[in-house]
Amino acid sequence: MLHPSDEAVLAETRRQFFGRGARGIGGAALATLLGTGRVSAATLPHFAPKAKRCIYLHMVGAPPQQDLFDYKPKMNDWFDKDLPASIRQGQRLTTMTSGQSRFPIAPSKFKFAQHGKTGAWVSELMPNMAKMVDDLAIVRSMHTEAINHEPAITFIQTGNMNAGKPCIGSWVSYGLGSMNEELPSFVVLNATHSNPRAPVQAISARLWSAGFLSAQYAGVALRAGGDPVLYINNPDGVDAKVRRRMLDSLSELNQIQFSQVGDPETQSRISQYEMAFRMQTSVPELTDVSKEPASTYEMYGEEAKKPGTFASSCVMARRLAERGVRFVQVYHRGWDVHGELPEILPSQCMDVDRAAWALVQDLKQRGMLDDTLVIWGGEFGRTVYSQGKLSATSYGRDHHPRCFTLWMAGGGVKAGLVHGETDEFSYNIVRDPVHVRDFQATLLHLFGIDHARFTYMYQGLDQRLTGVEPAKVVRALLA
Amino acid sequence: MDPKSEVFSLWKANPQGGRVIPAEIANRRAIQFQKGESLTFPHQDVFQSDKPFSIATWIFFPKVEDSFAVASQNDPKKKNMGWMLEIGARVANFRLIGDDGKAITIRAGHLEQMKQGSWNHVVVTYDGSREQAGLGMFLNGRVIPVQGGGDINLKLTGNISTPNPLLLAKENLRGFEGGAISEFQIFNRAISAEEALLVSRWPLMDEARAKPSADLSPAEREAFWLHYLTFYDSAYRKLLARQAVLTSEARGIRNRGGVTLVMEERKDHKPVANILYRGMYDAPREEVEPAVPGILPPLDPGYPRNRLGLAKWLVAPANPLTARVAVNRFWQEIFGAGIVKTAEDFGSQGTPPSHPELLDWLSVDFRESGWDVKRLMKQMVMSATYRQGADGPAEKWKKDPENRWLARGPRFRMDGEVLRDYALSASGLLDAAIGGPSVKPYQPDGVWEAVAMNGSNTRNYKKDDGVKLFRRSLYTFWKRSAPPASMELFNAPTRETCTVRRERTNTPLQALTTMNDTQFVEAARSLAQNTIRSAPAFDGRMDYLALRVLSRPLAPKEREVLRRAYVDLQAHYESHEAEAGKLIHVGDSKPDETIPAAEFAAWTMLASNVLNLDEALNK
Repeated sequence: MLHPSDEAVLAETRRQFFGRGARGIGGAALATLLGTGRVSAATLPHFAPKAKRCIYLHMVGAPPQQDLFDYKPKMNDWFDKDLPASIRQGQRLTTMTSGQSRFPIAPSKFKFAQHGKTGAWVSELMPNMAKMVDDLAIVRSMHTEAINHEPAITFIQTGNMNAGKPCIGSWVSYGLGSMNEELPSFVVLNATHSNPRAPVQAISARLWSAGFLSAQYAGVALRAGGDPVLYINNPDGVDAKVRRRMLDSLSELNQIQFSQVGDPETQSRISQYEMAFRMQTSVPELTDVSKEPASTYEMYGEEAKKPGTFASSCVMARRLAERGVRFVQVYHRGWDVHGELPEILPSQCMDVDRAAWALVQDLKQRGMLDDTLVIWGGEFGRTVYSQGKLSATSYGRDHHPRCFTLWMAGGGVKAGLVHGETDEFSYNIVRDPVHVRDFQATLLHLFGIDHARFTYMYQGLDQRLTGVEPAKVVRALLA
Repeated sequence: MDPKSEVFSLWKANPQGGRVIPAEIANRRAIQFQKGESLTFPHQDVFQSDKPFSIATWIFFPKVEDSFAVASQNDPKKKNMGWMLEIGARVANFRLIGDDGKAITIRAGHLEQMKQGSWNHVVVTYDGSREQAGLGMFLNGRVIPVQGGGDINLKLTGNISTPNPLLLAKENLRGFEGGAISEFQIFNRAISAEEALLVSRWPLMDEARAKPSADLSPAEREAFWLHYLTFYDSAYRKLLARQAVLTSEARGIRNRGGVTLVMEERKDHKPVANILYRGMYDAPREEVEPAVPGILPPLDPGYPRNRLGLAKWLVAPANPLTARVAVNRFWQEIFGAGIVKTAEDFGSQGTPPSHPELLDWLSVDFRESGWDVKRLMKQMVMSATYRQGADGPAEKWKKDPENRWLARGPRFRMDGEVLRDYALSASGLLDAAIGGPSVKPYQPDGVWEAVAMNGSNTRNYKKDDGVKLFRRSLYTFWKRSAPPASMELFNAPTRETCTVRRERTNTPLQALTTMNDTQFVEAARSLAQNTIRSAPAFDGRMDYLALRVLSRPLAPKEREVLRRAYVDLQAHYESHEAEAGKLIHVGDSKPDETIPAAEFAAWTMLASNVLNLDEALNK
């Protein structure tokens, strides 16, 4: 549902799926060229961008910050002691633990060490990420408002806990348009996880939906099995030559129709069928990794050869970035460690640690890290106290919105930085809090966009990614 | 009651564990359980997957909201194999669990709650059929509606026979604290409805037996009368047998269908809700009562403050909005856009109507016709406006690209559902049957799997077969987190929120769908088959194909384009027989093998070509 005054603009452009002019001109930008624009995004970017593209690795389920990046050695003295009320401050809990009679503290079972010039503490579960702390900005003071997965993921992806708003990738695609002629500008990869016991949360296409923006800005899910793009392959018995012959007569007949009826939509249809034909070549070229050199797998690991794994998704993300795809969203599930954390977390980390490291190093080697923003993180944090039974060997952690850790690299982010601090319990933030909205404002800033001025009129409101409440760019994170 | 079928009776059995201390509870001799207390009796042999049995008991339901284990004979170490009778959410729950962990369950309907602080008589029966439909439940002598208890498996596949003892209540947290049991009986057959009623009257008759006939109360008299009828009156017994058959049939029907939830106003509580500021569920604010938005006409004080009142208010003559909104949506349906373009928003943020007088006239007319939808639609489609051609000179298109001023007839790309139905209908594959459960037609692999939870019952997409592949799109199964792929690409809403107006994009992914989706390829193939059968030569066939899809004959120029394409395609498939064979076997339906493959394949491509024309995709 578009605002009426936008519709006239989009009528010119919306018929095109990826292209928006397909010359590197965004839909919004094209609107200005046509002189019809009222779209506020028309002046984008607002200032020189640092990031041209983004690869966002979202760990669905929420990784426990205190077992990975937020080192809390004092907690070892607190084993099985109750979380002090002065720390909890009567905070709202999920109904999964609000009925517990005790909140016994579970210190992390994992060893931490300091790494790099930064001296950042990283858990033994992430040995590869530890090697590159000098490339990263680790934000330990993220916080959110949502306490359950669905609203929390929706919040960090769309700026609102209620479904229906455009996600970050759609906003960026809408504002900045495409950088290529034959692939979508926003692609989603759903990676598999290796541990069948890892607790998964459902995700759905609403997380890559364009909300009230035109559907052309929605993420296109690139699939690991079957057709990489839905229906990209011709049916059995139809080769490229037959398809071309059919398209030739189709186009000829549509031309005749156009000359008789005059609907410009018909011409647009002809070009969409031609684009479909081009994609039938470009997509297989994209997904054919047979020409990737051995060195790729030396970096990303053998797992990267298995389609659909997180490692292979990282290779694909790099290939997409190379081909001018602006926003690649990778989802990896299985992080919702309410119980048996010591058994499940290591395999989850194994899935992502090396590949995320390889991706950053790979981009660096190709000279792409400077203008490619890489993000790793979940939707909220986890509690310092154990959910369910705490034993010497096992514990679980419930959802915790008050603090969590994510890291960013490249794309104009300051390298070798640890930002923000939590209390001894990794429960409350004591220094430099970064709200989800601040994170989003910062992300847009790296793309050369002022979040406050990047709006879209819908339902009587100048809608923006960061919503109506205050948000600020975290200057300390900028290079 | 036939004494031979009673295999266990509480007061005759000797417990192995626990103490039987009968007490007088609410005027009944019974055993009460304290926290963690239970009673163990010798193992009963009667419980087997293929054998019928029944359990009858008086249950004293304590005054707390909790779940309880009432009785069981099962093995917690072997996936709980055996049976359990429990109370959860104040209703009885009866479960048979096989040694494979798969169970059949029935739970009393939510209106069949037990009375707290008093005695309830429960009978559960099993007919030995291994089916959920073979389970029955009676409350206070009356057969009650039941629902499947959440188990997906409706068949008992495993063995329920365990050597474990019979247990009343349970030792753990889910014991039967404060609850009591009386007259616990087990039978070696599924007892009938009348028997269940009799069993529930047994204590009454026991007491009354000693009284002289003249002193009997009406209830006691009725119980004896029932006893006489059930066991001694041959005509009655014959009818009973017949009724038993019908009852079990009815139960089978009920258990096969789903539960339809019907809402009704609560009688014990005034309807209220709290305002939750910014959705904070743990901090409810002001309490509010039913009312209509202040900006709209007020609710007539004579209307009840419930859904009936709301309905009356909606269609009251003083409220012009309902008719306008309805008329506008029907207009949108056939013209492609409403007179008020923002069909979902008639407020200050929506667009004003392009033809306000027309909208008002139609709305009043619609209301005064008695909300006659058919009449309204007829009025619209027979109007001169609707019957205009969709064509126009370039200048007109430029001046009014969206046809807001209706100088042309409607022309817009049809919705995903309509496109699919259209292709199926033109090809002769469409199954036009009305009603029935949802179906799962062709869908690429992995669409569901990519987003589902581990235990989700819609994790794996299993395509249906046969006619179910060709039902109207209305019946396609809808998973909201992963809607049918081919429809989503054509802007079908996810159905997570109410959507009254769809976007209408034009994308390469849509082109790929109508060219490559098995559903559309098979439709093209079937259409080709009918085309070939329709006439012996190219021209006759082409006429058929064009009429089926475009409802008009082709112009000579168009015919020439397709003739040239046909010549090339046929030549290609003559030299690629194997390819032709593959194409004509796409989809589940069987092709006519008597048609030469090359010819068949070439016509299939031609049919696909016509189905993909802009004209075919547009209304």
